[in-house]
Amino acid sequence: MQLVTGKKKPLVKRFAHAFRQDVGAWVLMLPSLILFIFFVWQPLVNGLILSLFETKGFDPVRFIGLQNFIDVVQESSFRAAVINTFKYTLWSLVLGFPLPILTAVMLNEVKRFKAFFRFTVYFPSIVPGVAAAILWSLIYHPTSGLLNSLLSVFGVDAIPWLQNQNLVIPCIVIMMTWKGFGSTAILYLASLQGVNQELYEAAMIDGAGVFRKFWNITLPSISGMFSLMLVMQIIGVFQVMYEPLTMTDGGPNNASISLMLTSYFYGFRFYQAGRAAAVGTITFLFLIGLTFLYFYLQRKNDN
Amino acid sequence: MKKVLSLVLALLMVLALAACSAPAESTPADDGGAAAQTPADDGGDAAEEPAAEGEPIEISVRGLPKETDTAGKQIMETRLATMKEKYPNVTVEVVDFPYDVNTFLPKAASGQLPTLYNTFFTEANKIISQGFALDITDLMNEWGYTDKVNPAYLELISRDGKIYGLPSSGYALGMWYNVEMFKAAGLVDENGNPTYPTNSTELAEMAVKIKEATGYKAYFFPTKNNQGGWMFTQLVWSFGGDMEQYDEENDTYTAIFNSQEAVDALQWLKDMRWKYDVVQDNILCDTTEAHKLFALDQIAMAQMAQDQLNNSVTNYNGDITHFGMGTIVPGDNGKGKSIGLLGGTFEVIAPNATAEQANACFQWMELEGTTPNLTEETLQSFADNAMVDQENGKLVGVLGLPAWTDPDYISQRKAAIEPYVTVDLELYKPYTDACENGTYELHAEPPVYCQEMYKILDSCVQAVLTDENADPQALLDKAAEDFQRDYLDKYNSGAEAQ
Amino acid sequence: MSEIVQSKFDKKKDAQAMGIISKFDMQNPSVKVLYGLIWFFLILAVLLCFVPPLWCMTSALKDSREFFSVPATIIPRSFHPEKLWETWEMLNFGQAYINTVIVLCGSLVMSLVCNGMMGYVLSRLRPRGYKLVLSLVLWTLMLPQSVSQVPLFKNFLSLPILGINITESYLPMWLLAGANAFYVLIFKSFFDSIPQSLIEAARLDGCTNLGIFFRVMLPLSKPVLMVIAIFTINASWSDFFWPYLVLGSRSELYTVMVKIFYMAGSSGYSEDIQVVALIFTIIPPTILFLFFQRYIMSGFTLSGIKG
Repeated sequence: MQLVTGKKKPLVKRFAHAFRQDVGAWVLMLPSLILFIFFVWQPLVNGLILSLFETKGFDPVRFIGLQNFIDVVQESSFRAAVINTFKYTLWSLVLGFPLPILTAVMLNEVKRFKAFFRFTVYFPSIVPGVAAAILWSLIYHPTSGLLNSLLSVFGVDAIPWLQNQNLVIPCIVIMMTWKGFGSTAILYLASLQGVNQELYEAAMIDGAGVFRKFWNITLPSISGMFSLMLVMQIIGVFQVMYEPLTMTDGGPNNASISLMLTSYFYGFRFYQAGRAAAVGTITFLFLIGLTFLYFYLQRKNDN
Repeated sequence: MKKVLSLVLALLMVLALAACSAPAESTPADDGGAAAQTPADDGGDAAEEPAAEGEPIEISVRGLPKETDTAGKQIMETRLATMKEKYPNVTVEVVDFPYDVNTFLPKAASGQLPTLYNTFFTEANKIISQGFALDITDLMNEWGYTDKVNPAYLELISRDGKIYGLPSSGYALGMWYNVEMFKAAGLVDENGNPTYPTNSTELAEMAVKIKEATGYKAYFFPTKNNQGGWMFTQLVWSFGGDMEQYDEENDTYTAIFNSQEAVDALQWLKDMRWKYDVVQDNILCDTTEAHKLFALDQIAMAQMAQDQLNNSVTNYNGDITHFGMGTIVPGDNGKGKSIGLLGGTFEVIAPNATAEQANACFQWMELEGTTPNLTEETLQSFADNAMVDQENGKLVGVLGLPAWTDPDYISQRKAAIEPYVTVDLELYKPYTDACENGTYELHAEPPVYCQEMYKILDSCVQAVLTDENADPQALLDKAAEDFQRDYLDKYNSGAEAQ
Repeated sequence: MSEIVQSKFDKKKDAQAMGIISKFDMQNPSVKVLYGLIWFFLILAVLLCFVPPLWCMTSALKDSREFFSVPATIIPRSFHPEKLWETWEMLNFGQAYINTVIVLCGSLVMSLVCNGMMGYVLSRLRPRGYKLVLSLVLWTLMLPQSVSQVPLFKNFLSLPILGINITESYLPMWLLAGANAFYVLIFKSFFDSIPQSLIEAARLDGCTNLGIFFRVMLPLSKPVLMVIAIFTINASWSDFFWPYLVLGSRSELYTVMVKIFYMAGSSGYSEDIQVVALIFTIIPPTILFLFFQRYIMSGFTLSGIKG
């Protein structure tokens, strides 16, 4: 930008001008940048370094190379954790990715009680995470839970929701989706409301039906957000920890243990900060792969 | 290309930043280690010449009463006043520090521990090896506690001849029974007293009778937070098996919890769930669930320590007179024996405490009655505590397995709390008698990587309780193999000194 | 481009016609069915969103015996609203609420100012080297929390360079709110969507960079500010981990979530009391959202931003 306008000016002046502008911009960014450096990036890298050390408490005592990683990967629950983490991610994509988009579109269409509907879908996001997990544990409770109480009204036998090794992950993902879909829907909605109304009018004059308008105007207008939202969701779910911790403690028989929960157990139950950091680093590497995927999608989008 | 380059640059920048701060990071660590050592070394001198009068000492101690506990708050205030009077130079701050596995480490690593805190024997290994406990050997000797502590407990918190804590309460696991439910099922003798089961099969049959009479599944077994493994260990012992085998010649440990006895134990548990169908419905829970179910008269049998059902009273309005206690029943596989797992709590002094602070903590504990010394104040505080417990409807009168063994101490303590006894001691006789006359064989927890083993066993327990087709032998074989490979082999080869 | 500026003031038009289905489409019977389906699904969504917490709340106000009875009663037999006041009194929630509001206000200011400025710089000013920062921020989104928890905590114990211990205060939460990669990116992509021509026009009018920010960007940014404000409030209301670790044993500083966490933890309160306490965590943000909702929505309709 500056280069284009600057081309007409003499070189020195151009440089001085650009410099002045740059300094101003950097100053504006400085407070946030400092916070990022000391409260996000530096701790992260220190954490990664920690994974190469034998630890005492939280302090590194001896460099041991990749030993933490070897120990962690050999651990029997590690495989379960990796597989489960992918299961969480997959289930949450199936349930949690399309839902906010559909909700946003429907919210955008409905002509009356808009505010009420918007409030309702957002409501679960208001419920604090710890509260939501406790709440849903009560709903899934094998004897006194809402679900089984309802089933018993219809004469259906109680289902041990969280105690069933095959149901536990979907059950937890349902809770996560319940909690999360509203706020994402509102973000999409904000974007939908920005769609130029004249496009719809023009399409209508062209005789386009509802579906074609949806396909040709609505979807493209929010598709720019898809890749960001997708990556955000995968990243979020990939780090799932508190939900299984609160609801199942990783059980039954490791059926709901996740990578980050494994890391948490190492760090906070067994006081092996080095191994905890090693699992964290492995998760980190998985996610870096996803970051590149995001960049790839972005670039494809840009072109 | 440019993007990749900027990414690499970004990474380099952050690495550089980290490199700058990394050495700084490790320095306090070294300091911390040194700090943890110094007061310990000085401890002896300080003990010989106690802190000069008037020199101000500040300590923080665990044990803040709950906001709702008015009686407890009152006593705490009196105790603080007495402390002020006796040791005017010591300022005591009482803080809320429930030992919490999940947040202990960050607090400890950041020096946020109170000067005096307490924890369970199960945590001793981690806490001592990570350097979060002050070596108090000299203080223990100086105050004359060492000889008065139950040696079994002392061993749990000693390393290489050094003592890292003061055992303050102890228990042997026993079997809690809901007497009301036994009565409802007609499981009583001619005097109307409940008849407790004498082996595992009898227990199962009684549970079935109770279920038929009350509609509630009568047997409780926890599976979460390492408690599944903890209780399973107890179960294996009572079926005649063991968990780890120590080979003295080679100084190595072997996991043996896939022995026939252990499989019998797991098979029995599986039968309880699927054959007799008497295990609680909510499987994924820990003992807190049992506290609740006992209070609601919805569960009749659970392995627990003797003070645990106080939680039923305080948290769930349970009625302590509904309960009774016996020893853990032997397994009915021909090898079973009457055996109880040993546990309890011990008092720890934070590693960064000065010798004066450590001494002040001992002064506080003396006042509080958490030490084996009997003084006027201690006896008074026993009576006070018993009175508060009585007021709150808690269990008073069952001492279980005191951490301090002096018979005189025990009888005086019993006398002090006598007026406040809240339960029919007959209902606890099978347990208290066995503890006192030595017929109850007592075992400390497995010595090496105990919590890690429990975690693995949690999974086995969960598997047999949630999956009808689970194979106990296969589960335990795999668990033993994993535990051997992941932990014991490394321990044996010394690659990882614990 | 002038339509954009114009339509900004054309509220009526925006408020009337929205979405895909126009009045004209509604004459088509199959579209009518579709519209009916939309209603059906939205009402279903309403039920799914409201029923679980409502059920828990009514359960919480049962007496303890009924609360724990098996099987649970779906329609409560007993109703004890006084449990609300009792729990409030018992746990001294008033103080916790005041504390939480203090945490919240500081976080809000930090979150909007710091993240907003960074988003603006990355989107509009783009000084040399901004790509480096941008890619670092993008990367930050992928960071697993637990890797950095420990070193971060150490930084709070001794601030880098300054060496001050800021635990046992609310500063750590405030500082963390000022460095949120997700918010920065939302700000950035929002500022990206503001047409360059608006800025050019302002520049031609002689506006400086700062002037552009305050006169053009800020008034247009109401919707995004509202969204981020709500996110921030929500996040810092729900956050318990850092307050829990950082506030240590200073119980007079505890926030609502820390209280709740202590309750659910080992210190042991009956589950029905816990659920009553959950109600206290849900009500304030609900009221707040009901307030904010009007602002947000007017922000949406007023904004001149199109796609």
